Amino acid sequence: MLRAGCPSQRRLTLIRCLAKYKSMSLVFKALSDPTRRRVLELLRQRPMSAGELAGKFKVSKPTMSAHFAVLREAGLIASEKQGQTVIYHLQLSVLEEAMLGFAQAFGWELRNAKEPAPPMMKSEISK
Amino acid sequence: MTSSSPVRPPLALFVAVGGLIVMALGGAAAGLTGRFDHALGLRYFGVFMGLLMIISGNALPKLSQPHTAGAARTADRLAGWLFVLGGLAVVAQWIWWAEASRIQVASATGLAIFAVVLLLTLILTADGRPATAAPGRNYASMSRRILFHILHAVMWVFAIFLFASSGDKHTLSWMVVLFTASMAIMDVCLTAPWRKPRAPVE
Repeated sequence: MLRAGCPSQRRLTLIRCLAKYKSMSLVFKALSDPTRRRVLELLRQRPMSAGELAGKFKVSKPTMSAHFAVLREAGLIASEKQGQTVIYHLQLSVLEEAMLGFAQAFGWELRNAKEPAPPMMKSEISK
Repeated sequence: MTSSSPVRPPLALFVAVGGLIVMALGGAAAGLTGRFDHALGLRYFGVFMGLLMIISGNALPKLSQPHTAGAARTADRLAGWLFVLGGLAVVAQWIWWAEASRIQVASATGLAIFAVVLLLTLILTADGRPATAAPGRNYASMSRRILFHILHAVMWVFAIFLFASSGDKHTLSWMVVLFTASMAIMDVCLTAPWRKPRAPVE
């Protein structure tokens, strides 16, 4: 067991600290879901509230909150509280935007075999 | 308004600036030994400038202020893409262009990218709607200010490279003076706090 303050413990802390700054696996995970990619596309138009975004998808609000959490953890969106409302805005670097474009073009999807297909947007159902 | 997203120091930017300082000191030390090939060192330095341009351009849209209008965000995105693609062109020219005109071509390309970015930014933000900020808050965050300083320095390096070929020592001296002055002016513009609240943007 490492004692606090010993060199090995300090190295481990430094590695953990550096790893927190950017984990590309979080970005890939965030971009692998079509719903989350659609959220990013919507936010590209303008910042939106959580309710406004959730209203555009045929999923429950807790599910959308989970998607927002994944996107926030990957650093792709930032949130801001305005009174009772949470406003999300896009925070993509050029590389992440290029990855989003590739993911949309090639239909990246990371799903377990038992997971259901992603829900259709309300606008697509009405067509 | 409060932001619930975590604030991370710009590690990549510190690494870039640190790398630049290490390169400069290392090159100076190697030059003193007499074993340093000036042309090769210049090529490495030019490639590093291109890489700085790419790294800074990549980070620029991510550091967009949350209170800025849509046009300003679009300008950030376009500028980011132009710096990344332009930086790739600059790096390629420093590596593969003919030695006789390498410095001039790469530097001119870099300066052209900066000119296009400035022009596009002016056009897109021509309606003059400023960012909103609480009184006493600066317009640009620390990360954004560091990024602007790095891009500003890279732009001046391209300009100095381009005009250094004239061989006139006075030109170089004046360019260093102008660089120092413009750096100070830019720092004041970026750090000056708002005195009164502005009209909210859509």
